[in-house]
Amino acid sequence: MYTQSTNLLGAVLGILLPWLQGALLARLLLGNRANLPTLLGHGLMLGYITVLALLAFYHRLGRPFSYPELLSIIGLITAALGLFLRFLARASSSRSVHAAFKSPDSGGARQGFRVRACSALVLLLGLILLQVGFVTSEVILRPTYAWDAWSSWAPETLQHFSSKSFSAVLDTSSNYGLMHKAIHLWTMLAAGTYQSQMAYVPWILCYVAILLAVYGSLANFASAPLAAFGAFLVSSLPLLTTHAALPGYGDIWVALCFTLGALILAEPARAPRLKHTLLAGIYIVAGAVAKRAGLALALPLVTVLLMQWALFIFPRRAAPLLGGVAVLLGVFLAGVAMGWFAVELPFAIGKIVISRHKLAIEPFFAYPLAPDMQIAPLLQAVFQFASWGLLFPVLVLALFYRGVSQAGALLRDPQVGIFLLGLIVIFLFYALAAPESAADHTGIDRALLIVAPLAVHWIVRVVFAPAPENTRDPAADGAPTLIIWKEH
Amino acid sequence: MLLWLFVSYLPVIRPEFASVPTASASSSAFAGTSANPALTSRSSPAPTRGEALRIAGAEFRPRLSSKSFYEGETLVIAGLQRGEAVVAKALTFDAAGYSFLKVSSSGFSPGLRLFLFWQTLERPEGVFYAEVPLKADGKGWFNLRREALWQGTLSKIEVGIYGDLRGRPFRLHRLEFAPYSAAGVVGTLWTEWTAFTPWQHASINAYRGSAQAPLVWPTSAFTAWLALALSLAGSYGFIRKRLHGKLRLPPCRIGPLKIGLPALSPPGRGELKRLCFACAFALWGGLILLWMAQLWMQFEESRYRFAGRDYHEKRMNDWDGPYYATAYGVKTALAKKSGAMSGLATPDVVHPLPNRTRFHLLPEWAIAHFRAFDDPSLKQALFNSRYTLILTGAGPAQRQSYIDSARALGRAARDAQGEGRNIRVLADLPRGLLLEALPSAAASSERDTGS
Repeated sequence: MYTQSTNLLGAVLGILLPWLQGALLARLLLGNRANLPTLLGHGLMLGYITVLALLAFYHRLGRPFSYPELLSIIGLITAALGLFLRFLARASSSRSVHAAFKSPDSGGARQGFRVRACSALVLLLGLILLQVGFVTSEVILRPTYAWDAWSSWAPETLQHFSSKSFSAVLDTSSNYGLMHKAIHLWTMLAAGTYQSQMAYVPWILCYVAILLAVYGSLANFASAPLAAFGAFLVSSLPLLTTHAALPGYGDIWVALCFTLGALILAEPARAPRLKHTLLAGIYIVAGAVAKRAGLALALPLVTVLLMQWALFIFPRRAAPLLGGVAVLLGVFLAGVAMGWFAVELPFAIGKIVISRHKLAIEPFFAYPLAPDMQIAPLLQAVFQFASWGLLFPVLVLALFYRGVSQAGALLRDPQVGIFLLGLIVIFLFYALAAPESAADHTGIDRALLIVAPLAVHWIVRVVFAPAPENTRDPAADGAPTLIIWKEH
Repeated sequence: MLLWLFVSYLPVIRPEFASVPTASASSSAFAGTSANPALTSRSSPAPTRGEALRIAGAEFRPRLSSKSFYEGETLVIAGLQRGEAVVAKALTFDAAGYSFLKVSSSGFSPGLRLFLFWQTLERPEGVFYAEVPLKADGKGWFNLRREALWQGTLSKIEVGIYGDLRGRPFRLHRLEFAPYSAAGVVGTLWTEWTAFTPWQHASINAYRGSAQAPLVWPTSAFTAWLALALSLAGSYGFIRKRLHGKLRLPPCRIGPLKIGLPALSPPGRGELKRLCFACAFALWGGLILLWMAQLWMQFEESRYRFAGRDYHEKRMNDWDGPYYATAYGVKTALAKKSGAMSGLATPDVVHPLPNRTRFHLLPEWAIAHFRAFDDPSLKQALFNSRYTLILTGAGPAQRQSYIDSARALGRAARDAQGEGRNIRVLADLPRGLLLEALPSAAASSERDTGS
């Protein structure tokens, strides 16, 4: 028979070793107060970013992709990171590396585990596992189904697998970046065959990483059952589950990058840290590398990041400065929308065009803008279709509640800024630049997928946890973190 | 409460229900039309005004099926003819009297689709149809009013079963045409929200929560329930706040017992918040349950289709199995060979099957894209590459004509070196023909050496 056998050990190592390496890197960047689920959530993405960087480096050198060689290098990086972390832990002589890998380290989680809470936790984790089980069975059983995979980018990765390089006779993908092509290729190299269903297992892990990141972050604010409740709500978002169960689209990877980046920026801290900025920057770039949508969704993250630094560097002048920028931006956008003026900024390889009729960063993309806003499909996507369950009605309720009860906290909350800016970017894009894609619902729900986990996280935090100013900074409790920038 | 309002006002808010007349079925509909002779004497009684029109499965006459029989009042379809079975019943009634169809069957599976066909006296030449989604147990309600052509005096109805029986017979117990009623509305809503739709390519774009445009979308309904719950919670809080200290009922003494209402206190801080969000999460949980039921059915479906199969068998059993088999045939026929390959697709091979075949051919064989089959494309393919794959679903005669065209072109045309092409059929595949085109000189030398 034609079926080739899978190198199961190689495939498992190819999944676990980069993940472990990424978790150690996350531990280095996030500090030892980050809990295990958070480290694992970040670890998957960071591990695959390392894999991508290695493959790109090999391609640059002109060396064929040799799995044992690449795996050895990742093993060495992992070992080096482990040793370095051990050295840091000894130097700080307060906590061991192992301590950071213990259970969620939060006040809420440490409060007595009563039988009721424990039962709720078991039930919720069971429900999450059930859905992960459904997703896994789909991925393992069903051959490549996702349209974009077989029609767009997988034909290229099959050729990459065959040529052991990033060269391909057929150039078939346009909307997709390197990220998940590299992940798919890496898993095929690990399994030793292009036929193995294992090649799409990273999509399950991506789904799991989103759940872990949400759980880990919520565990800093609330008890374990409530964190599990948040993760369960995310796990049961139908379209997110679908993207994991029918692997092959890049949106879920952008969602992971966006969620991780946003959760870092939303972490309560008295000041931004350079290492957090670095990590957020990595996710912004990774999201953009995964798919073109990631480029647009980088805007909210970059905006909030810049605002945080502006507030830190110019604490007294930041408010009028930001207000002035916002007014100028508003006037600029209004002027463009009214057709008073248009902007054309040339740069090294192309130009940026912003006008009433066109939005373009040439040569990367160019969108003619529709003259009238098409709002109906957007409302359909959030209030009529079941892609997000009751997320958006409940989000409106939570925003109303927080606005009424703690308007100041709502305005100061970076997480709200990120997902509301994200929603605005998505709605403006689909209302003006791609109304046909909104009308037939091929694009808008997939774009909402990117911000949905973050929105669920915020709802659970608002409902069950105190306002951000009342929570402590988990990384500023005198823990031995590698603080490159320390606030004065 | 909302459901009651919805049922009451549906004829007002939905134009198709705006003028729902009282049902009155023609009694002549039941005059000797039963297909099962045993039932002729006990056919369904004629309905009176406003009553449902019930038709037992055994009253249908099989028009197209490989094996069918009757079991009491049930029609059993044990085999399909080329994937379809159609059963018919002649009867006359006014479509306007009936808003819903209730189907009672068993043996239904995700591999099957059920259609209702009807003909009318007003337009006897037309056959109108609608797909009827059913729940996993084979039962369900269907909103007939969503079909604009459900009108006039019906002269014949047919039920079509399409797909794969999956080794168990399909039993049609009963069809019931029902006038507008609360049960019909609720039954239809439930069927629309719970009928299973296997993965489709559009599943990745959005999950709508219903197989067809429903009477009301589940998310909209749950949002409305949430709004109602919030209003009630708000009213409750408001009343408690306003009546605090004012409403004092004296305790009632019954013998030694003193029974009284506790003093009404204003809502505590956070109490309303907890109540509102408890309602919100409970309703969200309702939608999650609907989704998880879909996931479970999808799990069963995928297990049926792919579990216990290796890569090759899974591909063969997938939605484009014949095209995978074609690509597999190419790879087998050309094992350990190399050279350029061109692809052509005849008009009966529609998008996206050529792209899908391209994917199956990789990584061994790369075809940039399949051109439409015509003489210029065929000539270009034969003269630019050694191998040509013609994707076609045509029968043997048509295939022979494609081969003849290729041979004629190979003989007639010349390349830059003045050579024609000798065409050889390397493989006749389930959905294609694999041709080899060698320059005339090379072909004759290959013949001479016997290679």
